[in-house]
Amino acid sequence: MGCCYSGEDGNSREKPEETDPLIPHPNPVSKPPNGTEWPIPGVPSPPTDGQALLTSILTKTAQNIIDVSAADSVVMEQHEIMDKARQYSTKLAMLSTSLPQKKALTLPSLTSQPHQVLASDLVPYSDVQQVSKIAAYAYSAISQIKVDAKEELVVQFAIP
Amino acid sequence: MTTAALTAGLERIPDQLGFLVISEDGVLASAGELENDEHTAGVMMQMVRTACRFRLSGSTDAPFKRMSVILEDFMYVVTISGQKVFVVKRQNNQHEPINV
Repeated sequence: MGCCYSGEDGNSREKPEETDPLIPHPNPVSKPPNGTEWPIPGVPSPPTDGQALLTSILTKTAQNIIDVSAADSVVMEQHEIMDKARQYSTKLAMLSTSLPQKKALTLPSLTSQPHQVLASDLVPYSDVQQVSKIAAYAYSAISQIKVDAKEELVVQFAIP
Repeated sequence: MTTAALTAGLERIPDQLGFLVISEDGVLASAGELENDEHTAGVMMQMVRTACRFRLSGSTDAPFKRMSVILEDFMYVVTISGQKVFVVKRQNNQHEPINV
């Protein structure tokens, strides 16, 4: 017998009630699972049930809890922390001013007379031919780049 | 400039077969053989963005006013004005001169 207890409004109550645990729980799991009750002092509850319940709560919490203190902590002096914070904020300030500029440059305006530009004479065929020939020469030149091996890469040291 | 004003000028371009007006958000207008051609719009956008990154030595502006993509029988001419990309498909009347 007993009443359900919720840890959320624990701070607002002033006088200790019957259901308050005498010793605060080391792993604060103040909300009991649904449909169960806290063991009330003075009323003997079946130990197996309570024990099993407690163990299950403990194991579940142990699985879910991330113990930050157990991790390797980076020891940093206070001034180092302040320096890093200043470094990051200046970097951020720089990036935030430069980013909107980049956005504006993505589509530069090539002309103010699009219709005129688009309607004007097409590129002369002779120009197109010349550029195609130059590109073909360049491609041929690049494809002929090769390594001219002069010496062995790995040599034996001769120790007299 | 309204879309109608933009497209009216493009329609009058001699030997045009179609056109597209594209913004950063998407196709604003399309007509002729390029009507609803989102694929070509995407390709042209990529090409012109790449071309805009070229710089001739010592210059800060893009080194061209118009980009022409020349194919066998037709070509695309592309330019940018006022944050909009204009693509016009024109007939390619220039071919190998025939030596008689």
